[in-house]
Amino acid sequence: MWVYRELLRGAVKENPTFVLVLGLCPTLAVTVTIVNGFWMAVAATCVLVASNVIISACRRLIPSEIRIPCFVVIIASFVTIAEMLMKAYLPDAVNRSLGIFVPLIVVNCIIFGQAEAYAYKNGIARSLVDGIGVGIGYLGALLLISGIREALGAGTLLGMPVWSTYPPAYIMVMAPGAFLVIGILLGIFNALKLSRRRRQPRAAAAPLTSREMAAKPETA
Amino acid sequence: MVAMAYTVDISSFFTIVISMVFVSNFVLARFLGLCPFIGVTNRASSAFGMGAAVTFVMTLASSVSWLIYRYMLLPAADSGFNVFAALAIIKPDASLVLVLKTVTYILVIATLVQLVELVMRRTTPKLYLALGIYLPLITTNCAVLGVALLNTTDTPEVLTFAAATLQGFFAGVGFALVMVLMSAIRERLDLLGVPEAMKGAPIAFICTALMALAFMGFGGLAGATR
Amino acid sequence: MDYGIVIASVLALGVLGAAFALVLAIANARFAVKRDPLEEKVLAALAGTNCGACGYGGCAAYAQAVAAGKVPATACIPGGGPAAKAVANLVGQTIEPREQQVAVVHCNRESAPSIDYSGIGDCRAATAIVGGVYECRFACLGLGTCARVCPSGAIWMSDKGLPVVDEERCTGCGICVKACPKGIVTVERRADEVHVLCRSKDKGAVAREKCEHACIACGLCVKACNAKAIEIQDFLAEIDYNKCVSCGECVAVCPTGAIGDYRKTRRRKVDVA
Repeated sequence: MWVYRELLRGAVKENPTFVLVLGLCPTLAVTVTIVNGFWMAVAATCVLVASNVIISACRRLIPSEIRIPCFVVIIASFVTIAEMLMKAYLPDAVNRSLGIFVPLIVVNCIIFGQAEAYAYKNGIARSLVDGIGVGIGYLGALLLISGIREALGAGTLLGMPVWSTYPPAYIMVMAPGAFLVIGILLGIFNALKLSRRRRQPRAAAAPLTSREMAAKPETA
Repeated sequence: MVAMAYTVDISSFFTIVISMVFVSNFVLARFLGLCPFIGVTNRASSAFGMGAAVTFVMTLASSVSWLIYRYMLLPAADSGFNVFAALAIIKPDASLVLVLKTVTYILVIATLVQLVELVMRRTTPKLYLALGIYLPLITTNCAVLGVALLNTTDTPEVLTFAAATLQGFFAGVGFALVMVLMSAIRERLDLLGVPEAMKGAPIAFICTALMALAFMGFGGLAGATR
Repeated sequence: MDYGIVIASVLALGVLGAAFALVLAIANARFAVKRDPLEEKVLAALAGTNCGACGYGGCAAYAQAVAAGKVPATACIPGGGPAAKAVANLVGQTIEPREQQVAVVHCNRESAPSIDYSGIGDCRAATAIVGGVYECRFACLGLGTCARVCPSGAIWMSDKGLPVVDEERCTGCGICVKACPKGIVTVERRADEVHVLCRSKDKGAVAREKCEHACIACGLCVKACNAKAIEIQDFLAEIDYNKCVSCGECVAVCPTGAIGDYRKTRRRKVDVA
């Protein structure tokens, strides 16, 4: 069914972090622990779905010339709601480590890009499913990165210690570790993409020299 | 009282410079502004132009957002004057910060970027053509909104107008510095034998990791400026 | 419920929005840039690759110059015939059809490397430092600069480290010619199908020692040519394309395989990935 196909496209084929390479700022900043990564992805997904639905519902009312400021205000409103809910219901530690990156969801290229490319041009149902699909992809990406960084950098997973003998490399939970992890992961995904693409050896017009003409009998 | 809210003294000035440009560099330490960092640093010329444009927008955005924060959002009891409290629309201790912060800041930034684009198109058309599609993308640059939020959120003490503006300016300088450095590296990276899968963004990120490691060395300066 | 916050929010956004809209409207009027509609139409008719083959910094710059009436409408090479016709129509110029051109690689080396080069992977840089990487110092360096600068993606490096031109994609813009420090690549008419695949100006015996496919200036091709289109200059055969009819007689008699015939391969259907 088209729902399943759309979800898969948003999550895998056009994964926002590893394929489109969008919205990297919060991805690298909050993935220090899995809990943080999880809540950031949940917040971003909720904002994405909500703004996709509203923009899709209003798409005939929004003139093309001022669509960017309209998107901005709609997304900002939902981000404010998300921020207030998180401040009210999530533990203090999570809010403090997420810091300014919750309001920064408003300039997350993923949400902007989906609004521009998808919600503005498609119906409500499609936009909703697309938002959920991209959100799932984003959640997966954040969990992967934060899992690696927490395990290698703090020696824990979800707060529980993982190894007994390996002293954690604190660099992984700091800035350089983040860049290292994303660089290597992008390289791995690129390699997967390249190997999947079957590369036919491209043949083009090559001149026949006297040697080749002598070796091969002329075929008309 | 009003005059003190607008000035900054010399030692805080140096603290601001060093912390914004080196110690807490926006790209390498705070993870802000990564999309243009990876996208625009292919050539040194466009990297510098982008850095300059972003610095300009960040400075103006810091100033205007400080004014909005101080006179529109902070409760009258803390700041001494609040437009809405003065109009008796809200109580003197009511804070509009959480409600309006994000929306008003992003409106300010979007307007500023549009203004910069209009002025550039008329006065420096060559630079405008060179930056092309990257100019409107400054709106979604985390660094610009980030600096406005950082100036007005959880600051150890309420910043003065000059401090906020200077922080915005030097944050932009730090951003531009790292952009230019990265573009210089990437232009040479092009010519070396990078494995196919690592070409482009992956190897750029590995280089960024090394740069971030180097910039962590500046952490020692933080103690010197205290 | 504190309605004050609701009213304050609506007021704040309303006033700010209106104020900013006013500022932008004024700025838009004050900083208006007169756009030449003709320039926009010309720009739309060009190839849009920003390759610089026209001699200008980009498609926008060339469109500006053409719209101002200063330059001929035929300079956009990747756009080819269709672009030239469209642009000429727009600015009211008359043009004549120009022959289709394609890049040709004049090296087919079978030579051993003379040094182990591991510096910057750019032919221009390598030439500046060492001059040549193979025994034959006129040979193609194989570091792929031509492939990198090609705006159409028409050149790639074969297993032997020689550039191969994809004739379907090549637009004959000539950027690879400027990029090659050794003059290995030239742009010739597509109709010319026989080319000398060597650039060695070494004496016959010396050249043969260094490369299996070198031109040894034996002169057999000169004798075989019915149109007298080949000359030997500096121990290298040169074809005069004005006289050459691409008959291929020279290809058959060349003892080292220094002259190549594209005729058969161009007529054949080729697979392009």
